[in-house]
Amino acid sequence: MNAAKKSASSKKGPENFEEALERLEEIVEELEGGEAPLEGAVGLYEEGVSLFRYCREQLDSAQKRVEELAGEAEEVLSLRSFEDEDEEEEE
Amino acid sequence: MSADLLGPSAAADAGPPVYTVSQLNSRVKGLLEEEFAQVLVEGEVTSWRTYPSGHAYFSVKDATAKVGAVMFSGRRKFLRFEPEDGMRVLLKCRVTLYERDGRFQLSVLSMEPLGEGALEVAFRQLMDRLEKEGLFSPERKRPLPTRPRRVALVTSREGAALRDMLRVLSDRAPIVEVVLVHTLVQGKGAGESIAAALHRADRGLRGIDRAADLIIVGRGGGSREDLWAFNEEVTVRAIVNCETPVLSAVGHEIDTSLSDLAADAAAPTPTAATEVVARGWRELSRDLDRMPGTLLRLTEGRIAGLEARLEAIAAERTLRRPEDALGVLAQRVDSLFERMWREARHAEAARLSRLRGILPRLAASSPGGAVRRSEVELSDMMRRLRLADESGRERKASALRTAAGRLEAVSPLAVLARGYSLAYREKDSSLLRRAEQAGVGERVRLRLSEGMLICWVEESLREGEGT
Repeated sequence: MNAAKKSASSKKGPENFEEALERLEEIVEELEGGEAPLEGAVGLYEEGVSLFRYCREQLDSAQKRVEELAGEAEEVLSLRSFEDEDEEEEE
Repeated sequence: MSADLLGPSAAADAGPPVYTVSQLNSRVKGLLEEEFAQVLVEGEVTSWRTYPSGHAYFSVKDATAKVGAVMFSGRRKFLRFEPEDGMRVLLKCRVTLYERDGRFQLSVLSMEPLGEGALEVAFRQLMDRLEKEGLFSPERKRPLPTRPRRVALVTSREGAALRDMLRVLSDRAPIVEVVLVHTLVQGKGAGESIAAALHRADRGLRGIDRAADLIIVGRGGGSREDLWAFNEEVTVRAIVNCETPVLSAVGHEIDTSLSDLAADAAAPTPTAATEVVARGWRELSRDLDRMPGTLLRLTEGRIAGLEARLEAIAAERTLRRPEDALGVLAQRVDSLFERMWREARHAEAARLSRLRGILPRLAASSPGGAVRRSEVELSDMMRRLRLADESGRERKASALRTAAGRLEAVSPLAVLARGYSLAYREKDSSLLRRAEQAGVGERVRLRLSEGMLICWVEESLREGEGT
């Protein structure tokens, strides 16, 4: 377990969801190509599984990010957190 | 002199009064305006023409008669549609006289189309005009992003539509970032407000480096009048000018707005628009869930392929020079054993027992160095699969277990099937590699392809002694 954890954390994690997804698709293609040597194939598998977990987490994250564009003139536009006051009353 | 113009001159003999033309026209005008201060007239517009002053001159007619009419700019600016020749209208007007020509005419206060409402006419007219300009053409439509990460909602901060949309997005696609760009959605100035909000959602967000992948513009259901802002030219043009793809979502299912026609796509309701966004993510989610299985299948296939090749090589070598091959096998397995046991001693209990299960099979491994390497890798693979198995979800776990089972099935036990056997000293289960490892009278287990033999050592011969 320690060894696995170490190797997973020492690997560079994906920057963002899109990148992870792209890499995951690449891995599938590489494996499909059937050219990967055995050790490489296992490594790809491992990487693929960890990318899958990352993507899954991102997709399921309950965090709701709602912002409101503030400012009328273009040079003073900014984003602020949007509070939906009526949310409690809904449903 | 001026008195003459104000009224007819009384003739001395008290006969009918004599008017000047001006006097007559003025008098008639007065009578007409008094009698027809406000009347409704129904008829068909003909010869409609407007002037730079903003005034419009035209005639209204029916099957047999015609009357001239004027609509001054002060009144005309309230018209929501542009009257056209042939259009049947109801006029609210007063009747007056154009004194210079002595022609009576209608001074129009307001006008309603007959048959269809003013809004419908305006809608149709604007639609025709913008259509001719090509603003609704299919070539203009850009595909919507299937999985937008950031969506700008151009709608009212207070509207029910916003709450519906936020609920769908947070329930079904929580990964999506939402930016609200508030706008008026009805009433005076709503069109301009929407246009400005669209501009901010498009260029503004880009300007602060937070460009949206998709803009949803819309509002919930309402009367035709309520939805009118989404039929205004200024709104349509703002939609068309967006660089970001726009999804229009106005009112109920049955409403079609010019915004719908101008946008890259239209959803029947705001909720439906967000469902479109969520659908792309749900499809991805489904594809993603197939990933572990795909990865496993492909990796397994790769390993099985290599295994088969190595087995073939091993078999070939064994056939060619059996003794030689066995000697090499013994040597390789020897060092492999040492490595594995060394590693195993330091490993956790679970892993140790796992390795114990694997080792006897490794002993049966084929003679090639490549095979040995593959064996190490195979056991490593199984260990990794098991680790993935533990931390994965239940569903995935069972798939992995199945796979691990399948991996074991391709193990080199096949070598035993060719007639080799493995001998273990019973007391410590160590694999026998040299005759001297077992003393006479000791119990020895022979692991065969199928089953096991328990034997007593009767005699022990050194190399070369017996054969």
